[in-house]
Amino acid sequence: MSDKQPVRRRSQAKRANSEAVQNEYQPYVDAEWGFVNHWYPALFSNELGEGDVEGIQIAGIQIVLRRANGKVYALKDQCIHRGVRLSAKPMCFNKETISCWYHGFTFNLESGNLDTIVGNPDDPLIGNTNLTTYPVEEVAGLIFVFVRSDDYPDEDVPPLSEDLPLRFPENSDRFPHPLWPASPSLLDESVVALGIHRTGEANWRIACENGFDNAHILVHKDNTIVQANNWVLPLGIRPASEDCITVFDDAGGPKGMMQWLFTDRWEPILENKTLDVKVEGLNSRLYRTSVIMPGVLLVENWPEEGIAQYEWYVPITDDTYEYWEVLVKHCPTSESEEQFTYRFDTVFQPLALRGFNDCDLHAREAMQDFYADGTGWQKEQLVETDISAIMWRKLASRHNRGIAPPPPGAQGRDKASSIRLRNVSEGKSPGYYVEKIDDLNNFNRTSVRQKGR
Amino acid sequence: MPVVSCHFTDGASFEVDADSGESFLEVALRHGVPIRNQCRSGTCLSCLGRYAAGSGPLSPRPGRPSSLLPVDKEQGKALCCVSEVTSEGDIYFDYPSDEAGPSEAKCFIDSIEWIASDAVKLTVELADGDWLDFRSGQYVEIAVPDSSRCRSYSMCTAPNDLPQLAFMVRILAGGLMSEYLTTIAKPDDVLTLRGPFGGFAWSGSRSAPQLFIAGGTGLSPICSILHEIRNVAGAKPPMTLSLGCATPEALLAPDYLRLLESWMPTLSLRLSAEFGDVEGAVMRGNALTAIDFSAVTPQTEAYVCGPEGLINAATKKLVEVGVPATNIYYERFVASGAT
Repeated sequence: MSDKQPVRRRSQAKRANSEAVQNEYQPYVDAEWGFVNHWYPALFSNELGEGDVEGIQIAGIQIVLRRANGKVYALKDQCIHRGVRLSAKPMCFNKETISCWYHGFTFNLESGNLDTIVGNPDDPLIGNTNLTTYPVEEVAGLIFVFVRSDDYPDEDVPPLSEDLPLRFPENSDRFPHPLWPASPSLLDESVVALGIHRTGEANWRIACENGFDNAHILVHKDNTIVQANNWVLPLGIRPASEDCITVFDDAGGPKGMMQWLFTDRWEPILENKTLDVKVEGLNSRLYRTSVIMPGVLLVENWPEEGIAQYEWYVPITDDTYEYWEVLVKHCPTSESEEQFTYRFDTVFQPLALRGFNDCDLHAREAMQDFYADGTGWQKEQLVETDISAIMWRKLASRHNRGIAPPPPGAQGRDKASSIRLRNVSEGKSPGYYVEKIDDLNNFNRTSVRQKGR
Repeated sequence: MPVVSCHFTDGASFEVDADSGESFLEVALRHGVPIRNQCRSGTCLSCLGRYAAGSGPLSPRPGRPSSLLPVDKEQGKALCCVSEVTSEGDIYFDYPSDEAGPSEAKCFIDSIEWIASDAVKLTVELADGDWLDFRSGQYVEIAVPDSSRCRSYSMCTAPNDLPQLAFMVRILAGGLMSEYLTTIAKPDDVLTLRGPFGGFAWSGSRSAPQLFIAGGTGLSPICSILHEIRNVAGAKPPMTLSLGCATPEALLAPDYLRLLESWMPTLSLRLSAEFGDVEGAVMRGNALTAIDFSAVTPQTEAYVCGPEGLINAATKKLVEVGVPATNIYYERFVASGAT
């Protein structure tokens, strides 16, 4: 071997990336695929009936959920054998396991262990390997999953309350709210949570920053719910004090920040004389926003008194997120629950969660291309109202429990895979749920050429 | 019992005495022979070994299927997991017994930036096709171009930053590498690395307090360890990093260290300078005077990296407050320009 191989550089693209300027919140900029080792909502309870199996993806991690004997289990939805998604064609022979429908690898729901292989019960691999399991909590009709890296230890899994907003009235002294009653929490007794979730086409951070951006309310100026109620929704709200935002990061508690809206620490802008624009509404609609790791929004006193709106922007891939909008209210009687449900169906869902918040989906999409290749984080020119986004980025850089790597072997890593393109050509956008095989004997997607005349 | 000799590419060999009737892989693993394996059922080819000639000490176990082709068997290949020992002989594996052993790799200079009045950060990227695994805290030798000399430098990056590596390098007047880095080197120049070496490493504890004491560029391997801890899944240990330098201007990358502190809620940073105008968050003194030893518990694990004097003084202080010697890890930094 006397030939000397030439010494060559690796690809230029890799280098350009690594030369990116380190900034104050580089970990946040690096979190294109989201943060891992946090609790995220996965499904509404009523989306997963007894015995049901569903497949989803969060932060690039494919997860299969199964309800057995009432309890929800979550496992990595990528068979250790050849990477098949168990959820694509659910196969369960008992209440303790889930089997891969392709080669029969059968995993224990509780431990994730490879318990047996349907057609190969004595293989030496049995008992020696496992799928990652994800801790599950079900509260107020929502299924939460602790989405973790494969090596995250069980004993370090924090309680769900660490990744949910502050509770009231426990925090009413610290964050007083003289203009509305204590906001309901998902963890309270007799609380009812009603909402929707859908896929948005933007990076999760773009979506999340929209939620508590005090200059973004301009996009809602012409919304039906605002005009029909004659609400005073300012053109913008600018920071007017050095303590306009308070960070909370107590050990064992949620890590986030509270914006003191509708106090003298923020100035609502109701008129722009340059443009001769004025807010014409008559009825005040006071609210306040806080954001909590890993990207949970709490809007207190919204869309009406006694209700709090929760939002999550759960990363699916680096350019899609699952947008959760959930209204939470205390309903101590079945009568009050019925009233809330009726009002949710007739007013809140069509006019608030859809009409009003649909504007946010448009707005996030409109920002996506600027940030998609990473240059937007350097090119953006910020103003004083962006204080909220920047504080959040710094907070998230400090308190995340891990940055999701671009996932190996998961849906959406390859933007132009043939399966993805076929789905798109059939009118199916890349989304949150697994593509299930429902018509077993009919693979009718490809054109069939027959022999003969 | 017949004896089988297992040979690896790094020259290591292991002798295994075994009887027939059992998978050779199982016997060899019991003897501590590092044969790669996965399926243990004759399929995946991980445990493939070769004989010097067409046949060797192993024979296929009766009734066990294997994914080898007839031509593989003629060439003397065997799968350990479905073979048993039938005679004495040798078997060869195409990989080293210790995969973390030193190797040589070419790399390209990405950048050389001043991070203090007398230190630069050298950032390189491994060449296409070259690789060099290491554990955080270890060092490599870098050959000084156009000379026969090498200098040792600890990485300040973590293994998962590969193929990029970086080093904090002290610049010494007249030093061979110092001259090269400050007057000749430019981006895209090629360097040769050899390594990794050294046993300075993180203990892996996520509960015991971790105390890092660095003098000058002794900070480099400690930065690597801090990156590893930042990347590890799960709760992080309480950490203190105390860096001492001669003057405030000589403090290495203080802005970057403060960023690390803001990204790691359980890390607290102490910066000290012995001479010069000390102001702001920088304290007067050295890496040891900045530490409140009365608050150091015996469970603490300490990492000391810097000149010999610092290591001796730190060890003495730590032992005095009850930290067992087994909890003290150190790496001696000497100015290699002098040798």
